Amino acid sequence: MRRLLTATGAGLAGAALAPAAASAHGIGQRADLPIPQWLFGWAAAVVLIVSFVGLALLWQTPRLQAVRLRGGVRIPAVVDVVCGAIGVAVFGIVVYAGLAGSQTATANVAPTFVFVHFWVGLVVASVLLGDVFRLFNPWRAIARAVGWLVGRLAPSSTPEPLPYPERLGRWPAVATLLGFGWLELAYQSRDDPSTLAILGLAYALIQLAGMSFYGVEPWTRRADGFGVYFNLFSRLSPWERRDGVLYLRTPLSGVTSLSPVPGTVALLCAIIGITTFDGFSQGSIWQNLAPDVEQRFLDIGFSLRAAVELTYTLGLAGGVAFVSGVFWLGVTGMHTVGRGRSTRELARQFAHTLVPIGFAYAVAHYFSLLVFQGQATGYLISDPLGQGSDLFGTANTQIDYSAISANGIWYVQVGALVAGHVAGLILAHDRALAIYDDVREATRSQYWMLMVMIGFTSLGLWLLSATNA
Amino acid sequence: MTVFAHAGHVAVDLAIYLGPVVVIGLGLWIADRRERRRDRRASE
Repeated sequence: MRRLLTATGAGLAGAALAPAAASAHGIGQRADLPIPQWLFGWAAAVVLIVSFVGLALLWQTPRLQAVRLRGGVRIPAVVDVVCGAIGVAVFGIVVYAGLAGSQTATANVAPTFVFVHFWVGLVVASVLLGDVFRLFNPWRAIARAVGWLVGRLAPSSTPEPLPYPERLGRWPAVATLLGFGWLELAYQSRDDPSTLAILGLAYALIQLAGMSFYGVEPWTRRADGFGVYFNLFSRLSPWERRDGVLYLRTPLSGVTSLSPVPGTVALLCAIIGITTFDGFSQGSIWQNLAPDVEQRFLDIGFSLRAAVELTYTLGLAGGVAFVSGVFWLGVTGMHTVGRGRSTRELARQFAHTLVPIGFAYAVAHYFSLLVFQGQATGYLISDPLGQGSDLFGTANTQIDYSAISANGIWYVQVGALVAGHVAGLILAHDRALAIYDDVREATRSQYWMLMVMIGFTSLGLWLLSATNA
Repeated sequence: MTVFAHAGHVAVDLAIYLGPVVVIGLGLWIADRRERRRDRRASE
C-alpha cells in the first residue's frame, strides 16, 4: 500500500516536497495553524476533562445499557438477494482484475479497492449507514445461496451445523485482522494485484468452509474477521436492523450490546494497535530505528526482504502490545476501586469503550487517503484492469488534490480523535454506573479510563504530528 | 541531524505531547488518594 500512498502524496507534492512527507497518509504541509500542533493535545485533554466532569455531575443513571428502538421500516428480502449478488459481482471483478490486469498497483483496481474502499471506506460507511458489509458480504451471500439451493433440492439430507465453539469466541477474527495488518504493513508484496486476488480467494474459501461447518450466521458474527470488524463499527451508527426491520436507535447504545466473548478485548486492541503502528512507522523514530533492526536480521543471515518483513512484524506486534498495555493499565487501576471484580472481568465489561476509539484512529489516520486515493475510483472504474479501456468515459479523470487543504485534514483528524474519545468516556461512564454500587464509586473508577482516553488522544495526535510534520 | 540532536528533538516532542497525560494523571492520583483517605477516616 505504501506505493499507493506514495503515488497519492507525490501527485500533490510534486517535486517540491520531500519524499518522506509525500509518503505519509496525511498529504501536503500544514501551514498557519492558529496554535502549535502540540497545543491541540492540551486542548483535547481539556475537552475530555470537561466532558468527564459534566458526565459525573449530570449523568447519574445508566442510559445506554438497553437499546431503545424507534420507527421501523421493513426491508424486503429481495434487497438482501440483490445486495449479495452485487457483493459477489464486485468481489469477482476485483479478483479478476488482480489476476488478469496490469500488475502496476496504481493502475489496477484491486489494491485501491482493497486498501481504500474496503478497508477504510467501509468503516466510514458502516458508521454512517449501519452494517452494510453484512448486506454485500460475498462469502455470506454465496453460502446463503448454496444453503437455500441445497435446502430446496435435498431438504432431508442437509445436516445441522455444528455448534460454534464458545471458547473460540472472536479469536478467528483477531487472527484475520492481525493477518491483514501484517499484509498492509509488513508484507513486501502487499500492493501486488495478483497477490491480493489470490489472498482474497483463499480467504473466501476459508470462510465458506467455516460457514459450512458452523452455520452462516454464527460464523459471520464471530469468525469472519471482516464481518466482525465492520459490524463493530456499525454499532456506532444510529441504524439497527432486526428481523428484517430497520430501526433508529439511541446513539452509542448499539455498542453496549457487544457481547464480551473471548477474544473481544484482543480484537479491539489489535484494531487500534495496527493503526497505531501504521502511523508510528511513518514517523522519524521508526524510520531511524528500523534500519538498525533490519541490519541485525541481515547479520543473522536473513535476506533483505525477510529482514524488512521481520522488522515490521516486530513493530506491528509492539504496536498491538503497547495499546493492550495502556488499556490493561486503565483496567488494573479500575480494579483498585470497589472490590470484587477481577481485571479480566473489568476488561471484558469495558472493551466496548474502545470501539469509538478504533473508529477515531481509523478516521484520523486514513481520512486523507480516503479523500484523495478514493477519487482514483473515477479512472479505475473505467479501466479496472489498467489496460487502457474506457468503459464509462472517465478513464482520464484525475485526482483533485485541492479538494481539501492540509489544514482541513488536520482539523478533521483532531475532531475525530476528540469526538471518538469523548464517546469512549461516555460509554465507560455509563457502564461504570451500571456495574458499580454508587455514583461516587463509579466516577472514581473512571479516573483511570479518563487517563486511558487522554493517553490515546495524546498518542494519536503525536502520531499524526510526527507523520505529517 | 546528529543522533543526539534527533533524540533530543524526539524527547522534547514526547514531553510536550505526553504533558497532558502526566499533569492530569498526577492530579487524578492526588484526588484519588484524598478520597481514599476520606473513606478510611469515615469508616474508622
